[in-house]
Amino acid sequence: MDKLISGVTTFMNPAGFVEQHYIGAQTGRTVSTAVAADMKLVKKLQKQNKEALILVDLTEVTSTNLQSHKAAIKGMTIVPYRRVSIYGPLPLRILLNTLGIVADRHENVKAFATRSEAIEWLKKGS
Amino acid sequence: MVKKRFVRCILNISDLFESSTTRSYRKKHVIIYEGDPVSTIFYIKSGYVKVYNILNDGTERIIFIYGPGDVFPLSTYLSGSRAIRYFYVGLSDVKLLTLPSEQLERKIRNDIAVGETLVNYTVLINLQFLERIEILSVNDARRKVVALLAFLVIKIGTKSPISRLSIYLTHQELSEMCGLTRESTSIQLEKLRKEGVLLGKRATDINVTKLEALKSDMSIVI
Repeated sequence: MDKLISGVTTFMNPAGFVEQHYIGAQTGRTVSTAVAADMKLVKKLQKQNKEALILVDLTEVTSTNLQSHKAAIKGMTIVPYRRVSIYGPLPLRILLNTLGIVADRHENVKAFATRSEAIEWLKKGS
Repeated sequence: MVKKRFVRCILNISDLFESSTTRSYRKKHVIIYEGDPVSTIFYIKSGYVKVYNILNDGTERIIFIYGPGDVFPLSTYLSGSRAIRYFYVGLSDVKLLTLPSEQLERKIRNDIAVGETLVNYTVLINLQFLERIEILSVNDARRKVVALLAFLVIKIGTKSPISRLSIYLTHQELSEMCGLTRESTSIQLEKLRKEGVLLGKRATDINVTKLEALKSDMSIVI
């Protein structure tokens, strides 16, 4: 299978989280597509009376732009999740925590250095 | 309304501190202790603040200097860290504008222009931080001192061709900034003085053209 150069993969992981891996350069389009994929899985969970916990991997993101930031804020605002836990390098943690504040969702959206820290916080929301 | 805010130009960070309280600290006064919670964000109106940690052997290692117009500890706050990792101390007398972190949060909320400004500023400061930490880990005394001088020209120096540092730093302070003994630092400074990079007896005047040439020879990127 070819490796994804730029984009987002979204899936339900075995622990029951919605998991997303962002890879490469992120634009308004890639993030909006990811938000739509999120929405689909979150609605499925809602039908099962389950709250959505979303785990986001940003470790392979190479760049972002203003449009991708706006799309992320929109996603944080419209998707009915319980918590979004993000992990990745420091500049992206700073960016996502800031966007979380802009979206007024920083209590439910947090960014961490490692996957284990991110999962630990996500589990506290279940 | 929201759309209008989205297209607004990147603002000046100092605007966020309008009607903030001014606090004055004397030189050597501790402004933030390592381990303190991130409850207040500071904007430097005048003066300089050094950021340091204490090594296992008890020596002080100055990691960074903030000057007028800088904001701290913004990176720590926006990275989501609960506690401060370093000591922040007046390197000179300082005047600071203060903003409780909850108030800053209110100013960021629903305003992407503010968010983008703070993120861009923080990314820049983090790059300088990383460059400093990288230099501290190098095992080459000359390289450390040259890189430190380049950093000082940017942070506390006047514009070229002869940059004058705004504050006088002792050889002890300079050695704490480059992770060398005071003696090794003095030897390197003396060599640079003989080469015409440093001018005068005190290490406060720097020939920027010669410093740039040295940086280029040594592939130092600051």
